[in-house]
Amino acid sequence: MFRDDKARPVSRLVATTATITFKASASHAHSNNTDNDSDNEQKVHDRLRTMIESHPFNYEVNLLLPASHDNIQPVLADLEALYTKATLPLKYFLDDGELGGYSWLKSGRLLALSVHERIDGADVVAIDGRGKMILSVTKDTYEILGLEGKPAQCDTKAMRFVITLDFTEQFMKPRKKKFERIRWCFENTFTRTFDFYMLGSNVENNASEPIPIPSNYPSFIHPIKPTVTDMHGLVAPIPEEFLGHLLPDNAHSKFSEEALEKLQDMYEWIGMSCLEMKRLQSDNVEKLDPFITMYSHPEPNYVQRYSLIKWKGLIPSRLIEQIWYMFSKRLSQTPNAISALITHGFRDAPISFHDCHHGYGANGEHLYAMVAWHVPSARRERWVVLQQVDREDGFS
Amino acid sequence: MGEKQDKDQLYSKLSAHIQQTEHIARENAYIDPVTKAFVPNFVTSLIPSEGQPQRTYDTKVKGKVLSLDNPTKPTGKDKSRRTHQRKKLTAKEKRELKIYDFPQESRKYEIFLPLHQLWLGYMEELLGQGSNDAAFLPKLLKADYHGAMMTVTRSKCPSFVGVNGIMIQETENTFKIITPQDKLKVIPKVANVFSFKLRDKTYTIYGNQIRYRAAERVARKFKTKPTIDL
Repeated sequence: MFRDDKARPVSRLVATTATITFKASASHAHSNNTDNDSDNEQKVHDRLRTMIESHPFNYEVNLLLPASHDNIQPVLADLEALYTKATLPLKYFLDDGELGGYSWLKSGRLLALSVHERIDGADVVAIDGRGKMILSVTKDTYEILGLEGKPAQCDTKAMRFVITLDFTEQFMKPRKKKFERIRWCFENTFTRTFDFYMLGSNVENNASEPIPIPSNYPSFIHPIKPTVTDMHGLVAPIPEEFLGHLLPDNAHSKFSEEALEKLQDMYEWIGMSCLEMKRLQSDNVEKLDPFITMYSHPEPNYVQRYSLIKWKGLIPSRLIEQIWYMFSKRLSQTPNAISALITHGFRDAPISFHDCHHGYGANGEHLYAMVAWHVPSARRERWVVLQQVDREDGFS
Repeated sequence: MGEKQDKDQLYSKLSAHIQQTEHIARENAYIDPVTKAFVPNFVTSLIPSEGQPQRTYDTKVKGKVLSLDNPTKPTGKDKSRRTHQRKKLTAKEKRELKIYDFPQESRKYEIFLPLHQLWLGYMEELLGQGSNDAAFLPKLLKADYHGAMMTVTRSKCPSFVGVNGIMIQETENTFKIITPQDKLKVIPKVANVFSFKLRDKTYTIYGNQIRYRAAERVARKFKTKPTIDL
C-alpha cells in the first residue's frame, strides 16, 4: 500500500537528558557524594531503570564502550541468560498443572513473545513479564475469538484489535467466570499454535531460568551470550565540546535547535559504530570518496579504541539492567569519551514502551539508546536518552 | 299534571311477569273487542282469494307484537364492537398482552428438546435421500429454523461468540436462542454468523443476509451477494 512518507515522519525520536553532578572528586564519585548529590543520582538512575523496565521485548543490545577487548572480557562473565523456543497452543499458559505455564504467568515471572509472524498482518501473542497477556489480532481473528479488546492505537481503520488479559487481577483464577471464558476461547475458537520465545525468572534472585515445557511440544533452549568486537582507531566525537555544552541542565527544559541537530549527528555516529562501518576508522578517512558518501565526521573528534558488545535473543529487562549497571560504573574510568547502550525491540512486538500498542508503519522499530560520558573537569556525568518508535506506535 | 301522569304511565315499566315470558304478552294482553273482531275480517277481505287469506292472516298477523317504542341504537366507542370488526390484534396490543414473550417458567432447555427433534425430522424430509447440496441450499434458504441447534461462530461483538442452543423464535432482526443453561439469548442477525450441523455437515448462515421475517423469507427471491465485512 502506498503511503505518503513525506506527510508523516517515518518514526518519532524522543530525547531526554539528565546530568549528575558530583561534588567530590571524579575518581571517588559514587562513594563520597553528599546526600543531595546521591539523591540526584538516585533519581536519574531510577528514571533510567524505569525506562528499561517499561520496554519488555528486547531483541538486541549493543554496548559501545571506549575500552579494549581485554579490559571488557572479565566483566562480561555474568551477563548471560537463557531463553526457550517452543511451539505451543495458548491453552498451555492456562494449565495450572506442574508442566503448565499458569503459575509462571500468574506470578509475573514469564516473558514470552510469538515470533515469525508480522504485527501488521497476522496475530501476535505476548506475555509481558508482569502477569499480562497481550493478544494483538487481526479483525478476522477478533471476530471469531470471543474476547473483548480495543482497536489498536494508531490504527485508524480499526483492522487490528489488542486484547489485554491481566492475570494478576483478583478474580482472574481458575473456576472464575472470566478465566473460564478465556480458557474456553483458547480451547475452542483460538486453538492454533504459536512459535514462542520464552523466558522465566527465578523467584529468589530473579535470574533467568528455563521453563518446563511438556514433551509433546517441541522446545529448545538457547543461551544469550555476549560477542565482543574490537574496533581500533575509531574516529569519535569529543562529547562535551561536540554536544555537552549545548545540553540543558534541567531534564524538563527543551533542547535548542542546534542541540537537536548535534544530537542527531551523534545518534547517526552511534548507529554507524554499531554497524561497524569502516568509514569511521581513522585509516579510512583519506580513502573516502565524496561521490559515494557525503558523510563527514563529527567535529571536534579524536581517535579512540572502542569495543562493541552485542547480545541477541529474547533479552530480559533484568539482564539489561545488569549491563546498564556495569556500564554506569565504568563511566568514570573512561573520562571524556562517549559510551552508549542501545536496545532494539522486536519489530513485531505488540507493545513498545509503557504498554503502548506497537505497529509497523515504515520499519517497525522501537528502540532506546542511552548515551553517557563523564566530565572530570566539571565533576559530572552527562546522560542523554533517546527513544525512537515507528510512526504507527502509540508511544510518542 | 294529567299529561305528566300519562307520560308516566306510558314509560312505566311493564310488570315483571310480562317481561319474563313473551308468550304471555302475546295471548293474555288486553285487546279491544271491536278491534279483535274487525282486524281478521279486514285483513282477509283485503287479500285476494288465491292468496289464501286465512292462512296469511294466521302466519303473518295473528299474535304478532309490534314495538311502538323507538329505542336509540347503541352508539359511541364501544370496544367490543371494534374488536368485532377487526379480528386481528394490533402490534401494540400484542406487545401489551406479551403473547410472543416466553414466560420465565417456560425458559427451559428440556421443554424445547422435542421441538429440536421435530426440526431434525423436518430437515431430513427436506434434505431427502440424496445429499445434493446444490439442490438443498435453495430449500435451506427458505426453511424454517425454529428448533435448530444453532451456534454463533463469528460476531462483531465478542461476547456473542460461542452462544449455542435451540433457536426458538425468529423475528425480522433477531434469533432467540435457549441455551443448555436455560438462558434465553436474543441474538441480532446483523453482524453475526450462525452455524448448525446436519448429517455431519456444518452449514453457516450469514445473519446479515437473512434479515427478513421467517414467513417473508419463504416467498422471497434471493440474490447472491458476498459478505465482505461483518
